Amino acid sequence: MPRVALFATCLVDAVSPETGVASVRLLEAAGCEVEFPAAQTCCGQPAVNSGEPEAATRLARHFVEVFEPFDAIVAPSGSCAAMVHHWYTRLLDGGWRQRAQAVADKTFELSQYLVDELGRPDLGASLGGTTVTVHDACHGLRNLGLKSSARTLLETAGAEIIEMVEPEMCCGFGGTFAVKYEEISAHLADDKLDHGAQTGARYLTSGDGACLMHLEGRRRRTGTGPECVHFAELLAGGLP
Amino acid sequence: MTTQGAVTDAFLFSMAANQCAVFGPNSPAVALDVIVERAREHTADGTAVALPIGDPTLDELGVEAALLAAGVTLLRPDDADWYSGLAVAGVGITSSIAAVAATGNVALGSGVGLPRATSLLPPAHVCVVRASQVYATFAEAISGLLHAGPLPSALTWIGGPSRTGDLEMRTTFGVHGPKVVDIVVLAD
Amino acid sequence: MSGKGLVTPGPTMKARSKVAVEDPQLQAALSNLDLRLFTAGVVQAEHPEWKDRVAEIRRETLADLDGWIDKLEAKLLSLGVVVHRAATPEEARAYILGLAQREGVRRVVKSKSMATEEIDLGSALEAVGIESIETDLGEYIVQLADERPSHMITPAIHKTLGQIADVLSKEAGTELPVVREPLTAWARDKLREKFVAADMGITGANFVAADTGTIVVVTNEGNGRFCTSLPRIHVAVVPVEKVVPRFEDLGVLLPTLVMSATGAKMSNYLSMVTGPRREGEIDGPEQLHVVLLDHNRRVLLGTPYEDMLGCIRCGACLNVCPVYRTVGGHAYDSSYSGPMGKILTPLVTGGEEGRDLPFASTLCGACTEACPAEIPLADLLVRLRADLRTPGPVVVPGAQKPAPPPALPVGPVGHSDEHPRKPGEGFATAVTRITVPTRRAPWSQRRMGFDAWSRLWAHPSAYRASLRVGRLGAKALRPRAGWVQRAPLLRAWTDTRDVLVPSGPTFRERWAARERGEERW
Repeated sequence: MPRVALFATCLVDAVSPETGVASVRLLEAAGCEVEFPAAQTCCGQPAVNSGEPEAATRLARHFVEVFEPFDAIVAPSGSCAAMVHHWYTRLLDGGWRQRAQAVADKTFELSQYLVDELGRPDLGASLGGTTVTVHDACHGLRNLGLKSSARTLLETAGAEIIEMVEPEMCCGFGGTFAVKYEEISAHLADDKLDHGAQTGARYLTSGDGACLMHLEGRRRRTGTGPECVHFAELLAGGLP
Repeated sequence: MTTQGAVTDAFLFSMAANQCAVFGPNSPAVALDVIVERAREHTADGTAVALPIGDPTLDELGVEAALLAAGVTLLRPDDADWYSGLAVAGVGITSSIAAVAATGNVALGSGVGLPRATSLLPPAHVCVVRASQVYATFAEAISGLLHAGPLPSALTWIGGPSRTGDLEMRTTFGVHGPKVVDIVVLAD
Repeated sequence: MSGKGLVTPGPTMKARSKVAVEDPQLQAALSNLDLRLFTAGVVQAEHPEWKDRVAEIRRETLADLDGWIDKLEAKLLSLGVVVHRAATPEEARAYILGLAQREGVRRVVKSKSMATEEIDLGSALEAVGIESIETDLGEYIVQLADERPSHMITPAIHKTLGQIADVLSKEAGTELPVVREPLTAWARDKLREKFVAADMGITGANFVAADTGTIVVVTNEGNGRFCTSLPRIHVAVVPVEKVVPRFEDLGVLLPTLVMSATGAKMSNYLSMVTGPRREGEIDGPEQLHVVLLDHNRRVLLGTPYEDMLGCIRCGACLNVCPVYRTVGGHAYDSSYSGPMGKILTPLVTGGEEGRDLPFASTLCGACTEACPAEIPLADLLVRLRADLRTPGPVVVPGAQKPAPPPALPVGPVGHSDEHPRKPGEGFATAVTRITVPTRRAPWSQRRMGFDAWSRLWAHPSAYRASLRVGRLGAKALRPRAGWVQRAPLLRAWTDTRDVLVPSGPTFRERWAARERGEERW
């Protein structure tokens, strides 16, 4: 039985615990033994993206220390997993860099782990009659190469995927960009929600809770677009 | 292996896609007829035909004599009024020194008797291309030209009629250069 | 810098963005970019091998840029080209103005060039009474409107056809129809007069081949041909990184440039100029001058920003950028906009301008993906955010004080070989290569905040405590949890979006409850 350490991410821990619960249920449905290392905090991405690499480095070291004992590390966020993959080896030096590389090699985004690593697209979830459109969140798409895995999980569960135009266009969240450049950010969210609405799908889903929080917050403000939900929650909702 | 015939066909296809009128591949006699016919059409309003001096391909075909026989007015680079005449000429005729099938363009070289402006100022341009000088790819043509001898002072590549995408990104023709480009391929 | 040059005084990118988002005409015009969105992927799809080859050539060039510049200069001189090395925009302008005045130039025709925008050449010429006409149709339109280009390939992309007709009608003194063909025909006639009467043509260069000394100018309209064929003097302003080692490299560079820029297989015209007019030729420039512009570029060699010099100015990163597509080019207030502009502007201005630009990015990485020269644009944006904490230039020249450049004789047929040049000599800012960042950033409020935060969250107990404090705070300030329209301290978020205020247990609390058997999932 694969032993998996869940990196819940600070956002899920603090604001959307349901995504974490759903992730655990999916991993267990795939036959994993899930552990939650209690010492985990944040991957440090807000710092590196804000031009504060020293602060990010501190949290990167902490992450490496917490997670290096485990065989596999799974996060319900392409962006946080990409932070580990892309930035840790660029932030850390010497022995720390080697440790970071070793940790990155066994760190996965949730759908990537289930489909590509475990080869278990069928989790027994049933989403027949559910229509979904998928937003390809940027860091998962471009740093981890995620494209099909979340779609595979949803389709295997019987959901109908209706692709929107420009699924790979950024939703406008961008971390602190969302509050520094809120006009552009909201404009891009509207584009994404419009594209989602054009599909007629019931849900707009993605593998990154931060993008979804931004999109859902905008949807609630403007009243346009499908309900924005993490794919893990959609799938977990279809589990028996 | 692509045969030269297939490359020539691809070249004609690309040039047509670039909004050129394409003719050939033709025998020298037919090519000459086409050149004269196109020149007459572009100068039907009584304007002159601008013709270089000493262009090997055009000379070999006997373009000068044929045009004179057809009764069109010729403008030559050694005419005193070459520039003022060129501004109101109806067509410029040149040959190319290379052409590319994949990208759809022809290369013209400047030289003595071969002014740059022949293919630039008149509203129409007739370009004679030897089939043997058509390369499959742009990279091959660049390499071929480099090894063929010293580069001319002006090596001009032309795809078709002058165009712009500056007006709301829709292609509009005839900005600065010729509005019409005729490509006559000579089988050789 | 003054006028419409590289940077004009003005508010922040943030303020300009707000204006741009609320400008309905601009938004309508920018929607035309949709036509170009997919061009970036064409090279990758049709010729996947080109990208690597282009990146390889660019890296090879940059690895010995000074050496290639010397080779280029020697070749140009042998062709009878006058070469001037300019360390700064001021030097480049002074050289060109001096030349124009000495030669009695009254009218200049310019072919679209980012480099001449960067050195604000048009305004400098006008200031001394020399008429300077932009001849690219889009560039001509923005010149008439007294604006700057907003896109490096389609300079007037920010204007609707109606706005363009207004601008041209004003110049024509008569009302022109809002129809492409007659507008184009009018500009053709108008600019033809200018070409014929011009004494000097000024272009940039998309590439310059070191082995043959060939200057390449890419256009679709034919204005580049006019500028390099008719005036008696041709000046090419060439930023140093435009050099390519071999003429044959153009075989892959040009198709990649064009396809990345427009999706077309090739541009309509390529002008390859190898020296001035030759004996017996009756047209072409009698004098050809090449101004090699450094402007804080060579200082980047050997630093992580060296990759940026690989940029071939195709505009693919602009076309795919969510921010560019939302606000257009003017919001950047720089000659260079979009992702590449956010990086290049603070670098080439020595950190004097555009310091806020790298923050105007979602870091989505679409630019990196689109770049045919494989420049890690998103990573450089992140790196710049850190390096810009320290005031001053992003990359600081080495302590070694460069010798003043020798006074270069200027003549009609190349300056003499009596001044053999050591590699790199001649640019006033010759420097030793350094790696960035080595300087300690000052303690700004932001840095202190992230420092404190990271220290706290590197300790699990402190992290847990901060989550509890957050919950208490939320509870005290917002009795109602869930999605709310306003929340204290979160205005920057809630001005445009609702916010989710959590109230229940955190994930880790739920995990612990499950472990204790109090909760079943």
